[in-house]
Amino acid sequence: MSMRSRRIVLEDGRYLIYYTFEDDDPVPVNPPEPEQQEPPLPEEKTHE
Amino acid sequence: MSELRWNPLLGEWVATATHRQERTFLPPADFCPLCPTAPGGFPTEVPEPDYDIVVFENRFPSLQQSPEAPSVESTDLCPVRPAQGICEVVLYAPRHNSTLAEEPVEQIYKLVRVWTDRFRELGSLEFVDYVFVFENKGKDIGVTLHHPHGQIYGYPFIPPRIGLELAQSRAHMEKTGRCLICDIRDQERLDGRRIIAENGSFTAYIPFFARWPYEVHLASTRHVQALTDLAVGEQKDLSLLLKSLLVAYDRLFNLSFPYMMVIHQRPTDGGSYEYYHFHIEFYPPMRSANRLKYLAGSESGAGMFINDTHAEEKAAELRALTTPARWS
Repeated sequence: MSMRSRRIVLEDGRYLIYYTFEDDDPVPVNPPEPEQQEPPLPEEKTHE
Repeated sequence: MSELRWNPLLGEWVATATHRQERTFLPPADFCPLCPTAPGGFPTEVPEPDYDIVVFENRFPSLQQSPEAPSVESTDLCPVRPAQGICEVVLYAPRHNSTLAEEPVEQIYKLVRVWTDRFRELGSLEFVDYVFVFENKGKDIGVTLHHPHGQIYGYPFIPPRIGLELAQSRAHMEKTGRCLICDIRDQERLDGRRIIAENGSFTAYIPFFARWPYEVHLASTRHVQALTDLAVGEQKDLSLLLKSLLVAYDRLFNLSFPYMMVIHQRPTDGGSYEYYHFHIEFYPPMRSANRLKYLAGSESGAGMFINDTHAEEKAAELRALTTPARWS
């Protein structure tokens, strides 16, 4: 995505910047949705 | 009229900005000064009928590029100096009723790009030693305009809180040879109980030492000092993690969650800060669905925060509400 900026001066002398963007990147790829899994059972404590 | 007055008791500057008393306070949505100017409508701060992201100099700044002379004289004990610096407003989107949490990841990515550009430009100014990007969100924080926006201050000195982080980071580096925030982040990842979410480039966690119940820090995986050090992939990962966190915040109490968001980066005074680490901190004032955390006697008078909650419990709440963000 390329970014451009355009600066103007307002009537009272302050600056204002417009930022615009051009979507020239490849479309971002979402990672696959994680499969719903049952949470693992807690490990039983073992006493040596 | 604004000026910087030195507090010799704490060794810090205080800005007085009396003209800010006159700033616009919670106007009706029809008269929002941060919306685009509709054809035939009243003139807002943005003279065009639409925009994507806009940055402009604050109409009511506490720091100015060309400040007036101070209204009082300095003494040896209490110097005063012109309040030179920059105060910018960043409009996140033209949509008045939106919030950063409600904007798509793509818009957050654009904002990260703009923050980076502003850090680069303001940091190059001779009189700016520190570029501070932040957002105050919600009336509980004291915002005067609801339109989604943040701010950027260019300070003519390193502010005290950052100075303290720098000193601690430097001391840790000298003692251990390692980065303090890398060590904190790694300890949080090893422990796991306070982790909210992570991706390849960033980790979000409530730190062990959190001052606020839902305080979250986002630290980069790579040891970098500023937004300008991030690669494109890291900027995208930051945008995704910000979106996930902000959505989880809003889910907590089914409301638009108020917060202060602050970005901590290296100073821009020409010094070397290789020992420091870029990160973002969130300080939400809510401690439950209908209670706020106030900065009262201990916090304001002694500087010691009292957190009424355990970070481990609050992190579990947030983690359960966090889902991976996705590009549109």
